[in-house]
Amino acid sequence: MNDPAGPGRAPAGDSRGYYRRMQSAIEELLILKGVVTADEVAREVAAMARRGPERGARFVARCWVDPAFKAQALADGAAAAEALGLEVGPLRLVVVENTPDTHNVVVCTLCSCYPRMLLGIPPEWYKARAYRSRVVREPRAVLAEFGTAIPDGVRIRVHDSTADMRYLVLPMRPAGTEGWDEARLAALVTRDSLIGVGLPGAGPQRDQPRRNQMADTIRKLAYFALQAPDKPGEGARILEALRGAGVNLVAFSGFPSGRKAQIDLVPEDAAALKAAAKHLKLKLGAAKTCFVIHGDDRVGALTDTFARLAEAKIGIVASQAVTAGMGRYGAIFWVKPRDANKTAKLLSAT
Amino acid sequence: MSAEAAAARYRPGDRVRVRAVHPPGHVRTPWYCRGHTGVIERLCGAFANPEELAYNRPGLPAQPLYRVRFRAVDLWPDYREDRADVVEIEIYQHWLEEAR
Repeated sequence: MNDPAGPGRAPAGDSRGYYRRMQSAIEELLILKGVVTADEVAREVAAMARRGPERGARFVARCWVDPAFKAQALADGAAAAEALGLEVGPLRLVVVENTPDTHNVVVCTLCSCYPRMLLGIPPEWYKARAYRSRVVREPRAVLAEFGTAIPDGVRIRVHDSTADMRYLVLPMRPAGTEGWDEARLAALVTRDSLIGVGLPGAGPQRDQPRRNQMADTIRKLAYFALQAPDKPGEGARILEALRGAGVNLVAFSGFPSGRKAQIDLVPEDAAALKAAAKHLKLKLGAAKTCFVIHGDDRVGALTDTFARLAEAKIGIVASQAVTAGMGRYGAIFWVKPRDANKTAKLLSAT
Repeated sequence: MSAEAAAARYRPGDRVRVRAVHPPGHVRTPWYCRGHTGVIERLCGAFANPEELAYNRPGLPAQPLYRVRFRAVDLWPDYREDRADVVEIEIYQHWLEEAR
């Protein structure tokens, strides 16, 4: 997004974090200086979003059925991936094999290095400080939180991806899969098992193969409606006032309502919005409930969530969704007030 | 590796100590292993030095990059899990010195 104030200078009241502003500024400078074009950035972002862990799953399934391929994978992971038709670019891949006495798990304590060419965009938790700082100090405790128990006597190797190598865990082939073909085996291989925090075809992921693979964050939030004249400039006026007051919004929507316009504000901090509205003489309606989803963008991102609501016979009153770029998407939906608590419980909303 | 690469001084199995220094800049050696001793697990090749690349310098000669294996109990005196657990970290040669 272009900053009207120009690269590097955040407009007053810009509520994006420091690093997001820096990222926008650097991106703009690279484009202005002709190092990359906006089109190239957009194409690469789209290509990144298209790659997913099914590429890594194919790689592992081939290792399980073809000992020569596995030997090549352990000697030179990138060459093996290319041989399988998985284009990996300049990736230097170290494949680490789980055995009955060793379990491997991958982290990047310094940032978020991840074999994106084989697994796509890393999940939020992989980039979070909690995972990065804890998995090198108490790997079993962290794995237990993923529902993965490592038996006593099994050594854990934590791989800190600090420099030029990227890592892929080669899980053990699950028992009882003798004679399975590659496609069927690949379906057992979850993203988490390729990072080492899960096991293939085991744990909660087996029961809900797609649902847990890219966990969405679903939040139950208060929103506040306000009425405004239906004329140009009202949205800008209200947003300007809230920006000046430092109110950060999670979502915003506006639509015609009778002869006026209704504006719904979903604040990060309801108390801050209420205080600001009082000061700004904006007449807010009572707090009502909505649900906001953030997650990794992928085909059919909302489908499972809506299917679960449908199964529970919960009707959706209204909904909007939009991709957020950088492989993320957001959605907002409303249910009838009497369904709000049931919805929150069903979706484990926070 | 090319003539632009420094010669590799260590071999798998060698005991090495990570230098306990704290220079400013774009450093890829995690704090938690500095001053600790481990064993070379493998040589990964030679790579332009990221501490130089970050400032738009060529980073040559390329530095040999090793995977160094540390015992978790050596890194964390209060480590509570299995004593056989290890942490393996990629470290450039100029951060390593011979350990006795």
